[in-house]
Amino acid sequence: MNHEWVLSAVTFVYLLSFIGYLLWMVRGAEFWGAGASWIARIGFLLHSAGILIRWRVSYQMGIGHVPLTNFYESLIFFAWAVMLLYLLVEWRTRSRSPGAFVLPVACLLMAYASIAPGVSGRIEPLIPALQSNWLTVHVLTCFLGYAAFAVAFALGQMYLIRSRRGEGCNGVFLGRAIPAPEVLEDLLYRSVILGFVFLSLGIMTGSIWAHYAWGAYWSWDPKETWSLITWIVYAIMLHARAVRGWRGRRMAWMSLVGFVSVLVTYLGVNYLDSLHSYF
Amino acid sequence: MAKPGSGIRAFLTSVRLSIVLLAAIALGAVVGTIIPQQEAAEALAEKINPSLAALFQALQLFDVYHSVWFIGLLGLLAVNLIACSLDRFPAAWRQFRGVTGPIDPGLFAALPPERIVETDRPPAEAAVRIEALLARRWRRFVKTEHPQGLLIAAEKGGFSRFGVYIVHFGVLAMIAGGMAGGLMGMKGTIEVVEGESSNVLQRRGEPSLPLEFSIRCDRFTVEYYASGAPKVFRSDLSFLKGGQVVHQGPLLVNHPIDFGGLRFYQSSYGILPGGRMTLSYAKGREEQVQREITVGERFDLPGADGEVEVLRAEGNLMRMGPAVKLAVRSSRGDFQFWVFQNIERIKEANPGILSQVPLMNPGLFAPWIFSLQRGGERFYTVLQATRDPGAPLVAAGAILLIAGLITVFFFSHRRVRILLEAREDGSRICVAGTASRDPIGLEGELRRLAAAIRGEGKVS
Repeated sequence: MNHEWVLSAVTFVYLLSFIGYLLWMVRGAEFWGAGASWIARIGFLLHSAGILIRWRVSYQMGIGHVPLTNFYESLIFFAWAVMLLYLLVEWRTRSRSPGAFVLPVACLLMAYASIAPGVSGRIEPLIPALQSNWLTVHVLTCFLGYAAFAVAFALGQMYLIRSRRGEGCNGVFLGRAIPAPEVLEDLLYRSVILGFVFLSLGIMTGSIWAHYAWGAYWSWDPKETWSLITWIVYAIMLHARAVRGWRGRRMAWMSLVGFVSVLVTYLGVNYLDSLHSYF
Repeated sequence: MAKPGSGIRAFLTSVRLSIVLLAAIALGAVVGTIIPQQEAAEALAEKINPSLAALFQALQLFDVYHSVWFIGLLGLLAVNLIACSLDRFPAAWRQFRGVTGPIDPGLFAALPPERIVETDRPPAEAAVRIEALLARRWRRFVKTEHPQGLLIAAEKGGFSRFGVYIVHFGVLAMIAGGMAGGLMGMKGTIEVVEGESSNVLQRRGEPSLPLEFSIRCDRFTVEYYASGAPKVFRSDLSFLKGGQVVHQGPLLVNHPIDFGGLRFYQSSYGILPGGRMTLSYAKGREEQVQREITVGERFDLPGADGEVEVLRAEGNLMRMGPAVKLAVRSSRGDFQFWVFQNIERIKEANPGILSQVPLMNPGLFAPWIFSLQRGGERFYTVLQATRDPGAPLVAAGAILLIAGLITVFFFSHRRVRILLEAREDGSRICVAGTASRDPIGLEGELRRLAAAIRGEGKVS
């Protein structure tokens, strides 16, 4: 089976699942919710299979490496991590309402990998700078962090909708489907914590790698700098919560600001000169 | 906390200051990624209005990360971290030490029913069972008399109170390590031509430095994938002291070499013209003839089969390595073709290429076959050499940071308080508690504890 074909198909499976979650929110029939959950799980299995096939194919080509080495592969893994975290949240909280907010993120990432110009899905051999075991842990930790922040971003939007003053709050459409603000707040906080720990690990493993590859653990490369900026945004968020008692909408807004910073770190700096040009 | 009148102390120990400093550092960092820095800034400085460029220069915006104000902000953050930690640590220590402490009078009020257990045992007897249950996961439990009955207190995870100090200590160590590296570290490059040696460390903006030893590049190798992307950059180095080789080894990207207090990295390479070229040729399976060649030279093939002219030589033609272009003039006609040094690899990567592209076929003038033994390139390798005495401190700080984050976020200091009130037919047991964070997790744990006391399920 062709992995690129499988991964493109996953985009549509996620789209289907997203529509299911939306219908569930609007119509309220359990049928749509259960269906959307199952489609999401099937999509995730296909997604995992696609990554594994791609990994295998790289070995058959004689240039075997973990599929975490270029922009295409990072998009695919990013979406995979988002789905992994979402399915864990759905399973642990028995609430499928974040689905309508998380699925579009995963779907857009997959679609971007498939159709954006300049994103090559070809399996390429590793250039000397990438021939390091730190590559795997660095990319793994960074993107698990980004994925947790993406989930926090989705939860932040839900919180803002749920807690909006006046109409909407008790409406049929949202009142039933979105969990209570306290539940959302707790989930959001946990996602941010997870993201923050993984981002810290990602920056640390990247520094170790840079120390061996480039002779400097920190070079103020734009991507490095933006990862630090993202780290600081979430550090401010966590301090404001712990010490200054920020809760609720402020935290939700911070999760949106933080995710913008994540996106600049991931995509925006490609427009600047960077040592990270492979991603 | 700050007392009235201690203005400077209140200022330095405030978390508001930490947040403002972090935001300012982040903004400064953003500016540094938008405005080109250091060498890259010169092009911009020439393009923009001179007075604006002068303003940027004065504000050190062309070298944000080494500017006085940016380092000043980092220094102030360090002072703020130390002040906050010193200010708050005693309270954290008291929290860590005290297992019983004063009880919030409302602690047992309005408990959910699942945390109240009725039993037919008297309090003293029930307490023994509860202590056995607690012994598995909780520590330091204390039994006291309480106006309403018997009170058992226990706690766990007290160390998590220190997580935040571990994180902050880690950040301080990293800032200190970074500063130490900037002040005492050294960074430079050494260029060595293949087959030669050098001991000159070139430094940016500083005079070059002669090393006590010299480095010889015995061989430089660059290999390519079939796609043309580089596969290996490798310098085989010998380190010489007083003309004696004291250390030898291959230097590859991602595999630095430590020598003489410096760490050497494969940084870059280049090709110099003027190396020797060796061509060999044979008629069919007959014996090969070798010949040193230069561009423009002509020579006759044995047996008056034709005349060969060396038209061109390239160090890295179409990213496939060294090649020479030959012209053969004979009674059968004129032939022109390239002879690649890496022909075997090219054939392997592109099957059928020789029949498709005659210009690349070294056997075009059959039955003669030409091959390039040595392509005339002369490599020089560029090594980066660094010494960073701050790096171990930064590494230690990073490890503390991660350990501290895990302590802060995945553990909490939980205290359980169990009140046993005597009833006519037994006792009434109330399970309450407090936690330094994660109230939902605490709630679950107390519920499971109450269930275990009731005799259902397990304590977690």
